[in-house]
Amino acid sequence: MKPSEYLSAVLQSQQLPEDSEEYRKLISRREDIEKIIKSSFKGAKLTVRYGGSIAKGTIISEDYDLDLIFYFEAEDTSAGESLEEIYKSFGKTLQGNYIVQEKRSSLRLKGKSGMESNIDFYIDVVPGRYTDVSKQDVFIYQSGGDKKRLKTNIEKHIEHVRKSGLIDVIKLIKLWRSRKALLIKTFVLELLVIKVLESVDKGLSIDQKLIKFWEILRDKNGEIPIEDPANPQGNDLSTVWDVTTKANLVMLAKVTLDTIKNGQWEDVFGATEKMSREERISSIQVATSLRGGRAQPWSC
Amino acid sequence: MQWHKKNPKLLKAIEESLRKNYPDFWLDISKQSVSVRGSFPATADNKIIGRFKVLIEFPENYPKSLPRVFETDGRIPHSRERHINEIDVPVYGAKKGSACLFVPEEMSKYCPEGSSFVDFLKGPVNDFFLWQIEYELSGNPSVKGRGHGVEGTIEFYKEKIGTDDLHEIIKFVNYIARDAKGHWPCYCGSGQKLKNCHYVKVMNFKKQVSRKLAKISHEALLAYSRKKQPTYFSGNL
Repeated sequence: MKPSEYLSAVLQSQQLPEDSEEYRKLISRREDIEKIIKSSFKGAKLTVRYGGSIAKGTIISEDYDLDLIFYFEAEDTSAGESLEEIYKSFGKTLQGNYIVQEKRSSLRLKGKSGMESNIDFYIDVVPGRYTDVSKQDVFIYQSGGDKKRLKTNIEKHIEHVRKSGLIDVIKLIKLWRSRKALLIKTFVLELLVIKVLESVDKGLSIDQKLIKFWEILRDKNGEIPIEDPANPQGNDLSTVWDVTTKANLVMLAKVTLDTIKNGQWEDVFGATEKMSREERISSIQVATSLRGGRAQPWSC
Repeated sequence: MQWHKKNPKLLKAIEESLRKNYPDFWLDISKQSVSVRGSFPATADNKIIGRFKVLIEFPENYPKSLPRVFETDGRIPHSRERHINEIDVPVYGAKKGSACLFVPEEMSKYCPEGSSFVDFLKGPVNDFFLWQIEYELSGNPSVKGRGHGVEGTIEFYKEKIGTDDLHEIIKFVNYIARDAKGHWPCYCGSGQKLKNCHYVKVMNFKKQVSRKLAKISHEALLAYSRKKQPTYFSGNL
């Protein structure tokens, strides 16, 4: 199998169909959150937008998220005067149903109790306010850094990724990140892929593009300037594209290039065959019986 | 001094064995600690059945104590039902959110002396994640999880000693925790001296379970028999 055929099979195996249980759960959760927010801020003129990998078309079954964005009109103060007040009041509202983890600008939702305790729903709620009546750019709260507010535009982010012509490369790099459990924000990784490959021949095959990405990253030692397309001069990404992230990414790029040089692409992304639920259960049972048992998990 | 500074050869060996066996894993070495990150491929029948993003922390005194395993993607709920520690339990080196792989008394079975980090991953860590996959798929894993806390310890000793009698178990564990003498009455209640009854069993068990661990379990079993919370939960032991 040619590398490009193999990578195409990897992408195929990473699809998350809209009729899958996981996808349906995600959408149903999204509806639940919308209902909670809308009923808490009755009368507010809220615009709801969907971001994240679903909106950008970069969803893979092993690594996905959904940004649920609530924008108030420029003059609307029903959830608070300041952006911080809006952010906090959203957190308070959602705490009734979820464990709310405060992130830099968003609120990550996790299961609150019982069998869902601490389960990550992969949903980030982002409250904000339009900058003016044109309803283009928005201000969102920023908990860390010098500035307390960030000017952004979700549509520009989505468009930047969608129009890059690099959707499949981004999906595979996200899978690579997932396999390495690498801590780098999806937004930063997407910008990085697009920036690194912007001057690379568009006619290259997908495997060649991936190799180029890792090679450029390695050769430039991670020193690749990236900027937020929604506010290129205004938003400082240095806190999320920092020295440690760069060093880890470069180190893993080198390892991956060595792996490809010495072996096969399969050593990077693994097998592409998908097993059915029954096959997985059966394989576990066969292995357990051959070994005559398994360790029984405990809890203190 | 950190274990990896004292024993750089061991760190190198781990690095090499990971590259060969778990190519997605990478070592995150800081001044203070060593950990492993990556996607863990839970394997059965030579097939990858599922993957979990993990962080595995080496304790300061590795390899004397076992590494701690954390699932980092928020996929497994932090509950005793799913065998994730809900609190820190310093006496066992357990941290909130870490996986509880087996009853500590089974350490010599699953991680015998001389076994490597990769053996640990292929053994109890793999078993743990297979259990989680079965739970996700059917809600009913083919291998039963141990009871929580002291109940799991009791279950273990019940199987090993072959009795349901809690007092007999407590006596047995006490003999493991102490320097039991042959002239002592046997724990089983036969009325015979230990040396004429279950002496070999006690001595063999002493080779598998450390005196320190037996003391912890003895204290916990006593507290349980008095319907009290074992003190190890507060880390006082």
